[in-house]
Amino acid sequence: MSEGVDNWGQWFEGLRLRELKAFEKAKLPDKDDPRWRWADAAALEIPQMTPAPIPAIETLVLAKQHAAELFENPLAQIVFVDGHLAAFSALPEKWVKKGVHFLPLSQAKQEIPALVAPMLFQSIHSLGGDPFVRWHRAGNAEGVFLHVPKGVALDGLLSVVHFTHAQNATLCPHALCLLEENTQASLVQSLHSLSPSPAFVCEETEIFLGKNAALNHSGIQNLDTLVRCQRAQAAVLGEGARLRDFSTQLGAKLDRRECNVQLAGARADARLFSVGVPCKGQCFDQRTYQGHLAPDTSSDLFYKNGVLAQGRSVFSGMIDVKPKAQGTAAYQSNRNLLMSDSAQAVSMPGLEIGANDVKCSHGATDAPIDPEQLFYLRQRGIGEQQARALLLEGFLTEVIERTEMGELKAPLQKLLAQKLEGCLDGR
Amino acid sequence: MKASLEIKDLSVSIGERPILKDFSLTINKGEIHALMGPNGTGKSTLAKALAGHPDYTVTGGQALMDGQDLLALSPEQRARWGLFMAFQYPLEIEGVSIANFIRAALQARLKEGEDFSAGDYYKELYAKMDALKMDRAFTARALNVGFSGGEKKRCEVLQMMMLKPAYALLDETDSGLDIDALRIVAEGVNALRGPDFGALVITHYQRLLDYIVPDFVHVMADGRIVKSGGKELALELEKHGYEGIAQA
Repeated sequence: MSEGVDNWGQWFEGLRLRELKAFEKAKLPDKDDPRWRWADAAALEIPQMTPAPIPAIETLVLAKQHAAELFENPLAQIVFVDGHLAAFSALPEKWVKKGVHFLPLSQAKQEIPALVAPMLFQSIHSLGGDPFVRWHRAGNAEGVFLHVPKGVALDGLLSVVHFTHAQNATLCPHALCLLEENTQASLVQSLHSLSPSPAFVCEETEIFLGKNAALNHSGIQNLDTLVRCQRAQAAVLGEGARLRDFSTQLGAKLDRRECNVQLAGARADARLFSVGVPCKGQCFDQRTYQGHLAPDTSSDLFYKNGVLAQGRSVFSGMIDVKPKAQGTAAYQSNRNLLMSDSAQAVSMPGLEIGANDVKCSHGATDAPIDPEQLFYLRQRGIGEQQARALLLEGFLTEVIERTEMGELKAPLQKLLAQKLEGCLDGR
Repeated sequence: MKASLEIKDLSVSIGERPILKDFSLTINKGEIHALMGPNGTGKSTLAKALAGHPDYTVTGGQALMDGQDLLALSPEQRARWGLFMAFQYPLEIEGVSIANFIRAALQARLKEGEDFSAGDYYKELYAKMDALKMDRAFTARALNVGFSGGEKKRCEVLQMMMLKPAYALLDETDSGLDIDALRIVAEGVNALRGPDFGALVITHYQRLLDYIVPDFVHVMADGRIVKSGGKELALELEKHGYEGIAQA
């Protein structure tokens, strides 16, 4: 444990080296592993770690400008380019005085190491991406540390933005979120590209929610289509804690996102949302786990993909109700709208129930656009192409509305519109 | 140019099955025609074929709208030319609000570079919603999703009032309406009545025609019109039933 440490730098380096060893011993991803079933072959490869050099000053300025356009008045924002800090607008003094920390991870490791150390790299990832997580931890993990002390409810959006820029850079964005008892916060993590260059983004997000803590968390992935992305997120929810998690997948050539939720305390509640729009050779791979460990917990997963020409989506989800988790309510729904004959969606919903007093359901649908809906719109004078775009937007908007994260609606609809503009020409 | 919707010897099939057989009818602007008849005689087929539904194949005949060949156009072109169909079963469109939907339909009618003011648009939309006794909060709701039968039909009439078509095909707009809703919907249709508007009201029941009084009534059987007359024909139907009329 971390108490009485004299040299924190050495302590964190030791942690990193342990992860490096674990990575070297780890079994590499394998097609025969059911957790990698239907994955793109390219998703299995672990590249060489090649951290990018510090970007030029004008690149950092550009990143700051782009980031400023993303959200209206975030409470605080941290911006990185290739894992290097580009801008940091800190929390208003009012929140700092209340003991809230929202800092670049490297700064937090230096300034408040005793707070960071006990929880950093403690998450367990069970959905197949574990070797990538070890690789990430052994590498140049940089990102954000969020800590909300007992009883504090933040009332604005916290934003972390990572840009890729240098050719073939490897980035390891990290987020560590600790919300203590009776707290509230909203965090959005965005991944974007400043230039059309290949890169590898390997992200880990760790979320720990104390008793009655509430976190709105969203991840927006809008990377360049030359980028490959591997992400793992794990959340542990204490008694009465609430997590609202919303993922948007728009960019990257290949984006695998693992979302692992452990409802460890009684009455914990998780709502998991996702929208994805793969097109033109993109593959979005979504693996989820809703683990019910305690009584009267609830979870509801609602994932939708609008799959365009030559796009591919993979969804594999598991609801796992442990014997102690009586009174569980767990739902899982994956719906895919196939916008083209060349669009492909694979869906593998799953359910394992170890308790007898539960309400559970899961389901998946893959369907093309309803021709009757299309005719209805066309009969009102809306051209076929626009009608299809409107139906797709509507299909995805339903998720955005259900998240009740109003502050993200306008920025997301803007990103979606940009994406569809570039993709809807092919059938 | 003839200001009419002229249907001449129109034959329509669904797959291999012929439904409409040499159907002819002319609706001049300023006129309201009622088309009645039992289930399965081809009333809805006529509306859908004229609107350009891809499942309906025109195997013969013509349809001219103000002298232009309607059947050569795509569904959206027909709509932009001024043909509106109120659906018997309006579709539910998740995630698309009523306000955005009608605005998209209006924008599709604009020429390149043209636009209209959002303020004027909402002013008009709200006025028409008030007339139809629709709650203004409906504008933000997803189109027809979770609406009652009556709300869906009001929404159809709202769209028609906003799009101001030259010709409207109302396919059993009265089904699923209680008497109060029926009156409101009929008032909406009547508000469009005038020298620049022609309509075909498809219905099973005479009741609707108490509120939308037709200039002409036609009775259909087996894919064609078997009897035409004035509004009194509807009353006759109510008394003697379709069989009595077909035999007469």
